[in-house]
Amino acid sequence: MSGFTAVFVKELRQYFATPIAYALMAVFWALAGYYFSFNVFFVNVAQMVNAFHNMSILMLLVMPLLTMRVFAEENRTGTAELLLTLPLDESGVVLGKFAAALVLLVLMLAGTAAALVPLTLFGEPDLGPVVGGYIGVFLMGCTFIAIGVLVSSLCSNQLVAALVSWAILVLLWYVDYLSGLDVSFALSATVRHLSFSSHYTDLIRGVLPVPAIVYLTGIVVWTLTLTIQILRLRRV
Amino acid sequence: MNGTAAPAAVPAGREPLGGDALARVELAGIRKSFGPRRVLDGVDLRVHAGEIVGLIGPNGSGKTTALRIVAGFLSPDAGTVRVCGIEMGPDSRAARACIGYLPERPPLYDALTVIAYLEFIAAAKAIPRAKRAPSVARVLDAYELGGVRGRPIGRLSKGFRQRVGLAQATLGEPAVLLLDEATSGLDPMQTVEARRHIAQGSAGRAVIFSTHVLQEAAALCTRVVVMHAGRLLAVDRPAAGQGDVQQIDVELAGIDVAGAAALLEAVPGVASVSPVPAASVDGVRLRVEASAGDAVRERIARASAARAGLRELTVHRPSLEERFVQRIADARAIGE
Repeated sequence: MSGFTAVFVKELRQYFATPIAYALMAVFWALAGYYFSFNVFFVNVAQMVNAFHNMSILMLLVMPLLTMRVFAEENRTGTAELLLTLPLDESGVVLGKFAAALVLLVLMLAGTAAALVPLTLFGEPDLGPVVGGYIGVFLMGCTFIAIGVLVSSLCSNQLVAALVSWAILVLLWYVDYLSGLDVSFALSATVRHLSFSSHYTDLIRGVLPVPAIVYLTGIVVWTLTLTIQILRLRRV
Repeated sequence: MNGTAAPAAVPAGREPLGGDALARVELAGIRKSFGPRRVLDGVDLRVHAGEIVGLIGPNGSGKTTALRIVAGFLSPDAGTVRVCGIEMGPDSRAARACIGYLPERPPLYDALTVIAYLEFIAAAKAIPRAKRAPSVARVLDAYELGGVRGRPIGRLSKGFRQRVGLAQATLGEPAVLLLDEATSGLDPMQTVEARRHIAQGSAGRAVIFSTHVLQEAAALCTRVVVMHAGRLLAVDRPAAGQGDVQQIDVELAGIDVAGAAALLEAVPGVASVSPVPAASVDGVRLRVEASAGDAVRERIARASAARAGLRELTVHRPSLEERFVQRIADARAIGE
């Protein structure tokens, strides 16, 4: 996995050398904070599960904006040629970029932990499900990032990469609606399993069911492997 | 007097191949097509340490594709590429570690500062951690980038960007340097500076340098390879007087054309003899193509003086541009 650290550091420097990382984190924190405050002060529901639900939707919107430039910008500016002619492994390049995006995801989620302060002050939250919920939301964020990285590797236009990533994520979120067609039991079961929405309900409650973890981890592994293969095919 | 411009380059076709332990870059029978279009059609080339080989040719002749294949960015459809004795294959990291590559458009990250960019390149080239800072400092100094080291690359002028590109290519002292039209788009002052930096960065390395600018090839390269339609047409030494072939116009008296041609063809080193249409009234004038060097000229002069009256012997050394234009015209005429 030669070059992982070099690419990881370079990506982080690029994120923080431009307003993109700051803007995305600010938007994420502002909207997550708004929804949390709204639920606590206007709906009188002081539970993290609602916050996790809103975070999941926000991540679906924000992650494609985070990942759109990862490879599309390299393809557009010609730096992909540099990456592929330096003595780097394709796996090091892909995982370095993925890991750098994960750092931003962790920072975004860490910022939302401020919500625990009023919860702890005014209530007695059960921290087990909260930690589990964070792990679940993080796992979903990983999946969104991996899909965004894959799409970006196929594009040379950032906007196209973001739009296609959104389309795929929304499709995977709502694909369980197809089960309502009631064509066959097997098809209904499959589309329900493929849908993010059928897994995230347990995840945000901090349950961490094995099928959901296997499903999301499988998507991450599969999309990153595919991205590595796409880079290798570039040489042909 | 000088004759008309004529090719003096050696029609090389293909360079001889075989094991060459000293060759830093070896291309053997390289073919590459993009869809139905064949871009490289059996390219053979060897470059040794200390050589600066210029690839010249019209647009679409395959120069960039050849460089991309050497750099490991593209795989050939057929043929083999060796860099520093290592064959380029699916896992060509060891071979790529020997290469410094500057594509036509310098591959720069505008958001990064010059120093951050070069630190990334040093890490990517797996330069040991303890040596990275000195290596980066060396190229910053060599390409006079110290004053802009903390500036984002996106805010640099084109000349500075080119220097950063050269700095990344030479970082880590690669044995092979590949430069694709490294001075394209620069103003005259920037071009002069870039040439100076290229010459400086090429010392001791095997360098392949593609360019459209023939004067640049003449100024920088120890050897020039003419490419056309994916083939190597000729190998030449660009400096005037160092051509592999010289052209000599010989005017003789007291001998007929056939006799003069037979006389000159018998001289060792003479490749061909052809009559010059504008012959003088009381003699014959012939154009001789012969291998380079004073010895051949002296042999021609001695043989001519012994058998006929030598009136004039004029050596014509066509410029690199004349030789290039003639080679391409010849290739087009015979449909290569």
